Amino acid sequence: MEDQLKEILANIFNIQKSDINEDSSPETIVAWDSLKHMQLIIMIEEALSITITPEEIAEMVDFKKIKEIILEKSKN
Amino acid sequence: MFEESLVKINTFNNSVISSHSDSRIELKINMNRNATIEGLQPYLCYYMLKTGFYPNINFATFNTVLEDLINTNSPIHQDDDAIELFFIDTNQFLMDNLNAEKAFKIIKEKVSLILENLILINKTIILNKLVAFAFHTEKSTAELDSINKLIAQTAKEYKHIHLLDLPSIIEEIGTAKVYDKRFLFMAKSPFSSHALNKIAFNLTRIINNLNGQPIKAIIVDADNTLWKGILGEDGSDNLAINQSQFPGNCYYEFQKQLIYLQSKGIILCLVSKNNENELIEFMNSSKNCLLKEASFAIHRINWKRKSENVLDIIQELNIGKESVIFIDDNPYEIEEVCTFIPGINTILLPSTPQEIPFILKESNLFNHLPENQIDVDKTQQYQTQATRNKFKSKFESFDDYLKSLEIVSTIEIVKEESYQRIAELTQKTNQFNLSTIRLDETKLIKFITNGHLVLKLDVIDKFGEYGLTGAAFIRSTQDGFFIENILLSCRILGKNIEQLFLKKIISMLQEIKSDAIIESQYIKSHKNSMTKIFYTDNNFKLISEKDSITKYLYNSKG
Repeated sequence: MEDQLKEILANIFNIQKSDINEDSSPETIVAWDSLKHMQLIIMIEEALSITITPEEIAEMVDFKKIKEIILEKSKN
Repeated sequence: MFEESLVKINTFNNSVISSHSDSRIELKINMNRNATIEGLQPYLCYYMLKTGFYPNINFATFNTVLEDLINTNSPIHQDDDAIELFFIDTNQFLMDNLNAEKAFKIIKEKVSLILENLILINKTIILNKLVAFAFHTEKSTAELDSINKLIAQTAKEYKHIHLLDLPSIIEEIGTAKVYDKRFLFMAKSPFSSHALNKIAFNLTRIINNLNGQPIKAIIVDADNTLWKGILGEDGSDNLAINQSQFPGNCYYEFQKQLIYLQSKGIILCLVSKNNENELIEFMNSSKNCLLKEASFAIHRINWKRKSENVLDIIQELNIGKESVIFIDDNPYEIEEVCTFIPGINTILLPSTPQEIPFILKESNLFNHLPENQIDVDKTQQYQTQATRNKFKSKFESFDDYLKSLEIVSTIEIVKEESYQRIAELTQKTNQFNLSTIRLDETKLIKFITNGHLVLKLDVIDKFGEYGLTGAAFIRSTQDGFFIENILLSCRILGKNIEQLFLKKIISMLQEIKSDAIIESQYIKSHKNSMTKIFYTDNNFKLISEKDSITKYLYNSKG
């Protein structure tokens, strides 16, 4: 799943998968603006067939957090 | 021909289309909008690429639709072949206003202004019909209808304006699926990706239709297309085409629509692998079969390859294959026709009868058809023209338009009853404001009692009275006059009233003092760049430029 997530990020931000680590965030990835964030959410939702709530969107501030939230969701 | 698909877009980057070497047509599309619709981009790229375009999609500044229309420096006014999309989301107005009634009032006002300006743009324009608020309990159908009517009416009169039928799209996918409630409130981005996909699909259809190959003829198959069953095998009594029975009623509906399209000027032709006499006898004698032999301009009923017959018909009609649509229920026949006649449009009839009545509408290939029979000629003329000029729209010259407005402007020395309005104008006007000197009523009165001159401008045209919409502030100097400021409300911009106002000011000043030296100034602000060259464009000579202040002298011999 982590790999799939990285794939999505790499695609959206037009970077290499290897460039993505736990700390990747809008601070470290130039292309990661609010618009791209919205599209990231949609892509993740489509890829994993889940729905992400506004609260969760707000919490997804870096790759680590995104992973945690999605892992949590996939358990349910 | 292209199909809508549930594309999974894995990148929102435009980079995929940045370089190309094939024959696709590069097309610039500017998105002017009051909502976040950036999500349209990947879907639009996808469909455009599939239909032979290289789209270059640009998003204008968020929510400056009207400003960009008025500001002649905006990309809208650049002389290029870009298609300008105007996307107006009603929800944003609802969110900006205390109640729906107020929101609608403002929508109406804004839309009218937008339309007033759109008709002046010499470019291809796509504008959406408005849809009701996503979340307000008030239905407001009447208000919405009246605004949409205005939009439709304008699009009908001005052929460079094309409509994106958003209400139909929403109806088609269902209100529940249209909105992404989260992003509506988090990011002013109202539409779900499902809706954006549909919108992009429809936009591509419109652009394709614009590209100059409107459908002129439909060539249909007979068996399992106009009715359910095969005449030669099932026999004429066993063909399902009965108006009151499923699945015959689906085919009956389909025939009705073909007849409707024919009434709009579309030529119908028939191609069938059958015995000619048998087929014609069935059609002419069956009371349920609405289409008769005479309904078809040309028919080819034989056992030849379909592509051969279709090509034959196209040649006889003497029209481009891109203007023809071939409809058949058999994927093999579709394939064969496509292979031998590349560029022809085809529709593969769905195998589920209940889908058949929907395919013509959903193809969006007939969006260009006029609403009334009377318009047929006019539209055809236009279509020919559109083909010739590709994306350069044809409509009245700007001067003709101005003449048609019957503008009456009155310039007078301001009197006491207008002080309040003048002061208000100096406070509110940002764009056409040469020096942005703000005055309250007290300062204004002081200016006047000090012997200086304030002129006011009232404008009326055939659309209505705009009232007091302009002012000029003029100081007396030793040798003449100094025009301290001129301002005009944005409501009247774009009609050459600016120039006219200045000309009249000058002639009034020269009447007071025939050899007067007339000077003026421009003080740069964040918002008044549109007036930067106003004086030099109108016979004033630049005499000094210091910091943000530029001074000019009127050249009376110019």
